[in-house]
Amino acid sequence: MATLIEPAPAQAVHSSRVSHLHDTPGEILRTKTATPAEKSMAKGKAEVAINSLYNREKLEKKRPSMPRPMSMLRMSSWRSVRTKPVVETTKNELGVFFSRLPAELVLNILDHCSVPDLTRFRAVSKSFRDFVITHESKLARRHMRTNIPEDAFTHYPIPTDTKLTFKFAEKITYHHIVCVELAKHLGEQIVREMMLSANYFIPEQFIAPLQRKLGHGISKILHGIHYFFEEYRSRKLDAINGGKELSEDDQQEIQYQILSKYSNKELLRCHRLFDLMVRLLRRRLCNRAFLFFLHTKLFRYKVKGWESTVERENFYASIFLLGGLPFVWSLYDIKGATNRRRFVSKWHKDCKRGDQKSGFFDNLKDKMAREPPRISKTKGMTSAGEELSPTTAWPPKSPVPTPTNSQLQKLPIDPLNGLFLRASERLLLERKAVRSLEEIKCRAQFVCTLLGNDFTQAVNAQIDLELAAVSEAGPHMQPVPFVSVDGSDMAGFYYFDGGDSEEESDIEDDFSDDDDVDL
Amino acid sequence: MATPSTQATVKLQSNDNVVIEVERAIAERSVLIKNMLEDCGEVTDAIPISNVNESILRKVIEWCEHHKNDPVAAENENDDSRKKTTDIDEWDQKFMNVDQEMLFEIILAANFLDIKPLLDTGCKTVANMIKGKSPEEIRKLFNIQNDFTPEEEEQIRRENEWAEDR
Repeated sequence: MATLIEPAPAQAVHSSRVSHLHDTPGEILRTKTATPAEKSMAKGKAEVAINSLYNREKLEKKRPSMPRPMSMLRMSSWRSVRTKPVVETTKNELGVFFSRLPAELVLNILDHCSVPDLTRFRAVSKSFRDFVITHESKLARRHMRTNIPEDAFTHYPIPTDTKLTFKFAEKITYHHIVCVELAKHLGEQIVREMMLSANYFIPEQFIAPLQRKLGHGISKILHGIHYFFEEYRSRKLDAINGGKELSEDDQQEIQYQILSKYSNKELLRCHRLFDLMVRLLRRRLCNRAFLFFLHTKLFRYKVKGWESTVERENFYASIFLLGGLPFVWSLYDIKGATNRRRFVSKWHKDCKRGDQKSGFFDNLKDKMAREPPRISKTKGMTSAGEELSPTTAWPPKSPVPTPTNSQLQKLPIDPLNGLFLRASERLLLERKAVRSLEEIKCRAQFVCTLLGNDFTQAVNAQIDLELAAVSEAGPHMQPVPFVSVDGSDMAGFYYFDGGDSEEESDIEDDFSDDDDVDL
Repeated sequence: MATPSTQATVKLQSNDNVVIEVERAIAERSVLIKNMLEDCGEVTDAIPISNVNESILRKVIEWCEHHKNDPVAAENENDDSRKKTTDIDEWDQKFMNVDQEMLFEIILAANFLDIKPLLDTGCKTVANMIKGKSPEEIRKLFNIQNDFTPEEEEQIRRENEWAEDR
């Protein structure tokens, strides 16, 4: 106690600057530093102000061995704070650091942290948890405003009249993280495919900015797609739990209803991105090597379901429908196309089987923790490539409860071409947002829109300069325009262009084993 | 300063009775002192800063000296400016590289003296200490007792799974 700075000035600061003193966890903790004189004073007062936390604390000090009923141990109750005697350390207890700061200042500090930071902060100790819970609405609201871009709220508006819960903030933040991370992967993949198409030469220094720019554009649109699949899945589950048989028309109707909330612009953007995303995912899961082995019967890893096109389509549909975007993200986090396919097959089987054993994700996590994981992301690892610890959350689970496998099991799977695209096309035509469907079939143009005019112009200019330098050194490289503003020069991007018919020609198309080029 | 009763310096007295003389312009980084000087006009006696001891006061003055030419932030950009930028300029980072006790005292002093930029820098420094850290690391950092029961901890861990490593 003697090592602590005198409590008197601290007290003075608190009372002079802050009116809501009782909010601070400091109040609770500071009692530990109280002098014996203060304690005896409190003794008398304790009975009177039994609800006051300050005094409550002293009461506990007086009778530390008093058995406490279980209900008092509830986490969210203020009263549970400090049920155990705290070990006095010789050093100043700087848990007290926070505790002695006025609430206003702690809030100021927490304002600079993100929602995941706050979530972890909440798990530090009871007083921290109580502090966050007490200021839940305020903290959540401020964090939503500063950390999350507008697009995330299009379909999840911030409630204005009711208390904003942290759950809501966590949910939105999670959605946001999913969209941003997935968009990052998609952006990288698009650029990679552009480079693979070999007709296009992208100077090294443009790769990262290109990917960032694409990722940024895509993440905004992904919110809309994310919402669609979450909503569609829950509505379907509701209908089925209500004992309803869903025909294909019913399913289309549900999709149509959800999408009719979208603005034309958003619908158009989502439609194009979804189309592109399915395409990219196909390429993520298939590659030429795989198909070659499949056809020459040399294929050693029998991955069930990948032999027939119909079944494969079914897989893609179930990925989106049952797993949603978080699952797509986790697919992008796995290295190696074979691993990814195995992963999907296993996942699909588990969904079909339901929750006979523990959840699929738990199993998988155990497995990943045992085997050296081939997860491409390095965030959780040290630079030395330390193995992922079993506590690393992967794949990312939603903070809000998601349907269990046994619930998902009952869901009928839409055919892939009946998912999202058909309903949105119908809506787009009905609203006359497009004249014909041909207009929305150009993927290359969409990529260009994402990149924006300024960007492509700047890149083109830079490339011209570089090419000029190169051709001076020796004209062995043919100058190739990158992309024109309207995307017409991107016809060479045959990956992105063209209609559905080309989708079937996986064998010609999937010549790249993207494992080799994983960045 | 254009006020008629311009003084070159003011004296500040810490709570351990040390008087420090500083330029008025520097002392006026503190809104509290500024208002006080405006209200009282000429002040020849030392101004008692009752909540701040000598070493902290000197530290705060050091900060004010370095930042004396900073533009005073307008009041209305309150909300925008505190966006989650946690970049702290290099000098401030070094300045804030002190032990936690000191950091904490600086924050309290900045709050008391009403020096908003210093307060924000201090809060950002603490926020940066928390950022990206697991609960266990935060406990270690601030020497906090984990007072959850194992069951509670398990439940919290499950709740927090999504936020780990982000």
